[in-house]
Order: sequence, then C-alpha cells, then structure tokens
Amino acid sequence: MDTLNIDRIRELLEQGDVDGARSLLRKVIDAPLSDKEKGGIYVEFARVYLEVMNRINERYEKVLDETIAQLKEINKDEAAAIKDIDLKRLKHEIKKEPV
Amino acid sequence: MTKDKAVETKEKKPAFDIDKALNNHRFVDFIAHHPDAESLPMDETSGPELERLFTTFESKEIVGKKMKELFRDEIRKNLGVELGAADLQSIDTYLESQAIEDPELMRELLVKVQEYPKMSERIKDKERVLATAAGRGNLDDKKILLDWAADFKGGMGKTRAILTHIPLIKGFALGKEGRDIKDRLASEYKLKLSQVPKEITKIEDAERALQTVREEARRMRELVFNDSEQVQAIFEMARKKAMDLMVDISAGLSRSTATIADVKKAEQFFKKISETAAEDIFDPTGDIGQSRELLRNSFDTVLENNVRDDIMEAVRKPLRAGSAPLTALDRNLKSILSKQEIGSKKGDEAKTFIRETLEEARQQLGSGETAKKILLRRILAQFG
Repeated sequence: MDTLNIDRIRELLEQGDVDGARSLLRKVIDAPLSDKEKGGIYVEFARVYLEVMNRINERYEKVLDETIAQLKEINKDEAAAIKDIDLKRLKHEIKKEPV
Repeated sequence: MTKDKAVETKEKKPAFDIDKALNNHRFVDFIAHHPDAESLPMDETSGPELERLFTTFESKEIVGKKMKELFRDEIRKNLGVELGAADLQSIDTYLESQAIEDPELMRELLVKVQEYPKMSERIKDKERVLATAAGRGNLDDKKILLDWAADFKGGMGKTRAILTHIPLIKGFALGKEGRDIKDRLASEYKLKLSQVPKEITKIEDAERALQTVREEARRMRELVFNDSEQVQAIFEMARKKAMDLMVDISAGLSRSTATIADVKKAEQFFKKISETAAEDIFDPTGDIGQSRELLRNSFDTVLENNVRDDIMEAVRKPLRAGSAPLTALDRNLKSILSKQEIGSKKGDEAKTFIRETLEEARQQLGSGETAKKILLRRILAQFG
C-alpha cells in the first residue's frame, strides 16, 4: 500500500494537478501488486477523490446559496416596487375616468 | 423508488429474516470468511449478529458497485485513466476482506458514496434556481451559460477547472470592506426603490418610475455577479467553454474538407453566443474582442457568396424543353427565394440581397437568353 502516498494524491487533487494524480494512478495500475493491494489503493484513491470533490461542492453550494439569496432579495424588492407603481397608476386611471 | 416509498420502507423495515439472508449465496460466501461465523448456532439467537453482518455485507456491495461506477465514469473522464476489468475486480477483493476486518470502514464509505451524487443533484437544482433568479425572463440564455458551465464541469475539464479555481473558491468570502460596500449599495438600492412617487398624476410618471426600478434592479443583479468571484469563475469557465467550442469550429472551417454546412453551424453558434453577449451580466465572447466584427464579416462573406453561387447556378441551369418554363425556373430558385436570413442579414435586408443578386444574374445572361431574362423579370416582380 505504500506505493501510493494518499496524502500526496489529496494534495495533487486539491492543487488541481490532474496530470500528477493521473500519473500516480497509472503507476499503481502498472505496479506488480496483489489484487487485494491494488484494490486497497483504488478504494483509498476513490475515497480521497470523493472527499476532495465533496469539499469543493460544499464551497460551491455555499456560494450558490448566497448568490441566490441576494438575487431573490433584489427581485422581491423589484416586484414590490413594480406592484406599488402599478397600483398607483391604476388609481390614477380610475380617477381620470370616473364611472 | 419514489421518495414516499423510501420513507415507507424506512418506517416499516421488515424484520430480519435469517433464512432469506442465508439464501443469498453472496452473503453466505461473505460470512464464510468471518472467523466467528462457524461458531454461530444459526438459530434465532444468532439473529442480531447475522443482521449486523448482513448490513455490513449490503454496505460492501453498494460501496463496491458505486466505486466501480466512479472509476468507470467520472475518474475516467476527469483524469483520463481507465481501469481494466481485473483492476475493477480488485476493488471487490479488497472490500470483501476489509468488510470482515473493519465493518466501520464500510459504513463510512457507504455514507460517502451515497452523499456524493445527492450533493451533485442538489447543486444542479440550485444552478437552475440561480439561472431563474438571475434571468428574470431571460432564463434560456442564462440556462445556456449554466449548462455550458455544468458541461464544462462535468466533462474532462471538470476537475481541472474546478480544482484550478480552488484558490478563488477559498478566497471568495468578502472581506469586511467588501461587505460594507455591498451593504451600502443594497441600502441605496432600497432607497431608490422607495422613491416611487406617492401618487401617480401622469402616466409618464409611472413609466419613468418603472424604468428606474427595473434599471436599479438590473444594476443590483449585475453587482451580485460582479462581486462574487466564484460566480465569475463559473462564468469564466462557461466563457472558456464557449471559446473552446468556437476554436474547434473555426479549426473545422480551416480544413479543406469544410463544407458550407460547417460554416452555417459555426455562424449559428457565433450568433448564439453573440446574442448572449448582449445580456447585461455576462459576455462569453470576451476573448474575441475586436476581431468579433472581423469574424462576423467573414461569416457574411462566405454565406453571401454561397447564396450568390446558388443563384447563378439556378439561373444558368437549362430549362427542359416543353416544360412550363416559369414554373421550372421558379422551382429552381424556390429555396433561395424563401430565405429569411443570410448571415447577419435578416428580413428586408436579406431580401434586398437576393433581389440584387438575381438582377445581377439576369444581366449576365447572354443575348440568346432573352426568354430567361423575361422569366426572371417576372420572378423579380413577384418577389417584391
């Protein structure tokens, strides 16, 4: 299992060094290891991959939430202001043309 | 399984059935490797222990399946490394032994593999909400951009692009100064919206007020996008994706095998991203810069020349003796006369181009082709 330094994989993925991560994974494929050893490395690799991707997704999701909240607030205020103007315009039109 | 059914299953989990479990040959093979399995009496008192083993077994099965999928799909796409059948099988071999030695690890891995797709789905939903909130009636354009971003993230470029932007993501949180500016602008926005006249006395006042409100809201939405480095990063990816596609298409055009269909495809794509660029928030054609007009003109030249060649060919084509000549000539020109768009020329402009080119073709006809000249004049008169 020591052929794959899992901390190094984590570091490479977090730094976005896809070439480095790929090269390490290829080394494992070509290494003369037992099935169980290789399987262990792949599982570790997948685990780190999922952890890194989940962390990235969490940050991304947080930004999405913040942005959506801001936009909704702006849109809500805009809709309220438009409704207000529409009402006032309606009042003006009713006044202009009494039944 | 629907959500309701899932809840129902969770609520009414059937009691563990020892016989049913022991009828699963994979489970039997699994517990055969367990050091204590042989000593279990296998009567009802073994129920809790067997159930615990069965749960670990099920977790191992799911983890194995999901991890193999991960390697087969995402890791292969993102890293360009493909595991062969034997390598994928080695994942099962390892999990098989690990599930016995370390059942806790199976539980941990199960949470990870199940949480990952859920989060991706949640993000997709939020991207849709963001598109709607940002678009305010321009959903399609925004959706295209977000789709590009999602596509970019989803393909080979996903990991690279997102990981490359980690420093940006980390640095996203606005400093105090940034927050203060944002808060101040938000207050100004609210103040401006509150300055709607108390009473509308003229219809123009209402129109003016509406315009102000919409303009202020647009400015604020733009501000949200400009302020967010992460959103900028997403748009940067989308823009890069658009440009990559453009470069691909352009490279296709420079090949000797490029056809007019390739040019039309490139022109359509260019038009699509240029229309999106007219949006106030995001311009995916940023990289094209000053050469945008040049590119536009090149497309126009190629497409106009193509129509010109088609007109010349249709006009020169001999009319079969004995056929209804006007109908025959009209049929030859039919697809050209019905064009509403030629490159950037639309409607009347496209029509004028067709009319002028037809007239040019008419004048080029030789002295012995008076009949065709007359027919063309008739077609031109009807063309309007």
